[in-house]
Amino acid sequence: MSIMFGRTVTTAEQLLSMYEPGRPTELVRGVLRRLSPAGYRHGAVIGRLAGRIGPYARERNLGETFGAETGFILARNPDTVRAPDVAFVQQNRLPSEFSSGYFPGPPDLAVEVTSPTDTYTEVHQKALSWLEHGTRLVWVIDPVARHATVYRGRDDMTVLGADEELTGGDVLPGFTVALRDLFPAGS
Amino acid sequence: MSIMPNPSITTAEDLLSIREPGFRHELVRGELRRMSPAGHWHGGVGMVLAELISRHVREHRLGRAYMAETGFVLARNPDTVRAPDVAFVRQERLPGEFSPGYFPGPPDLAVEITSPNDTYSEFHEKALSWLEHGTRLVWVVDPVAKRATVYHSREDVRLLGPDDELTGDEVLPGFTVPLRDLFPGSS
Repeated sequence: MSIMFGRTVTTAEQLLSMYEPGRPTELVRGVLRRLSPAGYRHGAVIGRLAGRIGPYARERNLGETFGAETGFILARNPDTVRAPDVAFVQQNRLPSEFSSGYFPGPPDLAVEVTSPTDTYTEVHQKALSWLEHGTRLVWVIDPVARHATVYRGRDDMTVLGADEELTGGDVLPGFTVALRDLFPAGS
Repeated sequence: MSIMPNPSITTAEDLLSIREPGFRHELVRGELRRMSPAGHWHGGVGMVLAELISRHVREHRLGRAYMAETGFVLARNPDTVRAPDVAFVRQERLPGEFSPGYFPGPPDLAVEITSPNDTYSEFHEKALSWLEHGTRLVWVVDPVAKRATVYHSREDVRLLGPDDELTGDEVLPGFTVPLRDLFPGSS
């Protein structure tokens, strides 16, 4: 999923200015990580989930939903900027005016959709990194195994099967989606 | 880890007859999986943990500990035989007489140690597979990140860091080890 490239310490601002279309990049403690574009099954799951969360949150004025590649500044000096596959920030944490920079803080919900080559170490590291920086709910969705892991804290993780529902809890009150509805037919 | 289709090996008995020194095999729903020998970091962590578990089990006469490569028959027709890196079966489930085959059922504790290239899908699925077949406690130890994931059930999964302790809970009463003690040079 990621390859470190040979630069030393970089900041969120430098990362923003070096944006290369089609080459999503993250910054972890000042070190650049380039992510490969994802496969289309992965992308379809993201599309389906964002398509559910977005309208649900908008209609109820709960907050803003962010698509893949949106950067969130999790730490400064050294800087960490990560981009989940889908993110949601509650209304009361949104700035009154949106800027073109990265979001200054963690999302309230971060969703990661795994690719078949993602390693166990990497996926857990990323989920933990969201939690440690203040994200309250993390969903890791595995379209191959057709299950999802819900992280509310290091001591509070649950695995859901395809017949179960993801629920928004106090981050996205009332939101539910059957996991199976996120997986395209034939996948 | 790789899958080697071999139509002639489909049952636990077929699997027992394979002799291919240097490789480990598992059977998942009648399909043979061949695994490479593990790296030394992986093997070292497995050894330390196996030694601690084995000593605790013998001192307290709790049952029997098993080293890597021991096969457990988790399902029949199609057959699933898996081999954790370390396993424990409590006293009352041990067969009274020696038999040459795989253990006829799940271990009470299954320990898996991840290697850097192990994928999230595969290992998460493996941990869930132990639980589904009756294993009461699963530890997935990640020597690279110096973390462990403790699975009591799908609803009760926890992540431990190097400063936390692995505890045997009701499966291995009285057993506890600081995670950091398993990793070389980090204590």
